[in-house]
Amino acid sequence: MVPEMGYLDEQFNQLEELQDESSPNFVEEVVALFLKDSPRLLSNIEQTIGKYPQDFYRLDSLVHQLKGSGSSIGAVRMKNECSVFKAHCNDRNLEGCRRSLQKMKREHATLKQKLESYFQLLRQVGPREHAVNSRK
Amino acid sequence: FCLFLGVLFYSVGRPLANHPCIYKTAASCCHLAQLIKLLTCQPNQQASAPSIPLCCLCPMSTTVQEPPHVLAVDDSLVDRVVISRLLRSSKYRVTTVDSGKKALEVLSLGHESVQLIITDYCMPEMTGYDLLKRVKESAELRGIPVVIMSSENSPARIRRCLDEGAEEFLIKPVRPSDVSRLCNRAIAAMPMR
Repeated sequence: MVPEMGYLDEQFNQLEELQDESSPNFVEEVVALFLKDSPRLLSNIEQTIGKYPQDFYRLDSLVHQLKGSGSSIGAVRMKNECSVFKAHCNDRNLEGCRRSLQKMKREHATLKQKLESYFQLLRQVGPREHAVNSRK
Repeated sequence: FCLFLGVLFYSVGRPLANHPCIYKTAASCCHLAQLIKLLTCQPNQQASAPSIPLCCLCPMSTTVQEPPHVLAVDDSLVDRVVISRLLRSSKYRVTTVDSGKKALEVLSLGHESVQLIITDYCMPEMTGYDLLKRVKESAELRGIPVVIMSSENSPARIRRCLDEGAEEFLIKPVRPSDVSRLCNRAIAAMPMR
């Protein structure tokens, strides 16, 4: 399952705990928001890297946003890569930033695929309660 | 008059002391006049009394008080949705805005209805710290507790915010336990300001 592969941390479980009858699909909705918003951020990051002279301040700010929303849904690998990226921005290391961006794009694509499969699987196994119990 | 107050306090306060919310309010309420106001309130007056926690059932009223109203400020949509859910699951009413500027607009329209402000630190144009300063500099708003959230665990930043009057500084991602703990504390602490 997705959590054991290290893509998601405890935060994801905390979000699942918040689901109830009034918000049964809360996690899926939040994840959908993240997956809709993050490509835009990645694209802005890519554009900013391509500019000359480099605006590391803006780059750091964009990566900070991505790190924030990623960590809010428990996307630990993305969060960690964002931290590395921010360190490169701080060092004004353009090559490091480029490498980080490529890594992040790959992480993002993998995460998206895994999350989409996860929710699809949850829908297939039936009511939310059964799915949660089977993981315990 | 003091004897009267003493008798009033004793006769009304004693039975009410068993009510969990009133007891908490009475314990944190250092001003006797505020206590009397709370005990003799009418529903309409309660709604307009900004410094008294509205989390409890007013003994003199037949209506249940509304849950505390929290204003959440964050420029990230994902974070607004998460914090909103966290607060609602702790039974608070929430209004979310995406900037400090909008937060001040909401507050200018009806600050009496806001019992707590929870804001992200890093926001464009007006940071959470700037918003905190504006709130604490305002005679009307300074009584509202402000909590800052940030993904950066910077002691200097934390110190700065607490010195400026922030109730608490939370490291993101914010947990359900953080939210319910701080809301209860922050709202209960309001009469002390």
